Amino acid sequence: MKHVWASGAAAVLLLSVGTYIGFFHAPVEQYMGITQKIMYVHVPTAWTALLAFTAAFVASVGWLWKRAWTWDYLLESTIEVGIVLGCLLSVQGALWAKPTWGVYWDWDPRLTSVAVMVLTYAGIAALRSFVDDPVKRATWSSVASALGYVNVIFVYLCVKWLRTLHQPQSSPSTVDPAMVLPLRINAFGMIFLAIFLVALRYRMARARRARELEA
Amino acid sequence: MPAGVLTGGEEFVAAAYIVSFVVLALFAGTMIWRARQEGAL
Repeated sequence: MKHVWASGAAAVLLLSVGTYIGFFHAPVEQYMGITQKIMYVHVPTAWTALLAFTAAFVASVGWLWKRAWTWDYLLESTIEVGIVLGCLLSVQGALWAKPTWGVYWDWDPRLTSVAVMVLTYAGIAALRSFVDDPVKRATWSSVASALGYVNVIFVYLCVKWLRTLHQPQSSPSTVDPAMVLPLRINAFGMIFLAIFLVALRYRMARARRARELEA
Repeated sequence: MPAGVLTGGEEFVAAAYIVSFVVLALFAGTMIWRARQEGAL
């Protein structure tokens, strides 16, 4: 349990430091002005949401292959954390879109596929709450999660494949070095936060399964 | 100021950070509370 709390503490520290550097040390971007500073929270949130759904995909394959409950606990926890991060990245994106594009929302391939991604995993979470049989619940949600991951790949690659309003991925190779540091610190902060949340949710899923076995 | 350069937008930056950290703090706090309620902590 010490590792879980350490992960939460690391997240608070890194996100505080990264945000401070992003606001007070990173330069103001030449064309987007101060609005670009949303990048230091939006991009790490987006990366971590995609990582959470990737972990959900691994968990779903793990369950379908090994039938070990640990994979099901991981699936349940990563999906829940991924949904919250997915909703959050959409709100952050909308708040960046309004001053730069003039609208909060556009049916652009990236935005649309992110909306589909969040709704898909929300549907899987709902499915898990409807099914009483634990084995059917784990199997059905694993199949749905594995299929839903195809869209997660599309979310990542559509800005390369298609002509989109959304800019291509930000990475250290495409961002000015002075802006990379806060971006990287916040990315690690968000990953530690996701690890903290997933670890707590995993323990809850395990405790619920233990109660199911007792009943 | 050259053409094509965005000015202002401070309120959107503030909103993005406030919404993000409030939502994440509430989610983490709720998660800790739920985990305690369910005997997972």
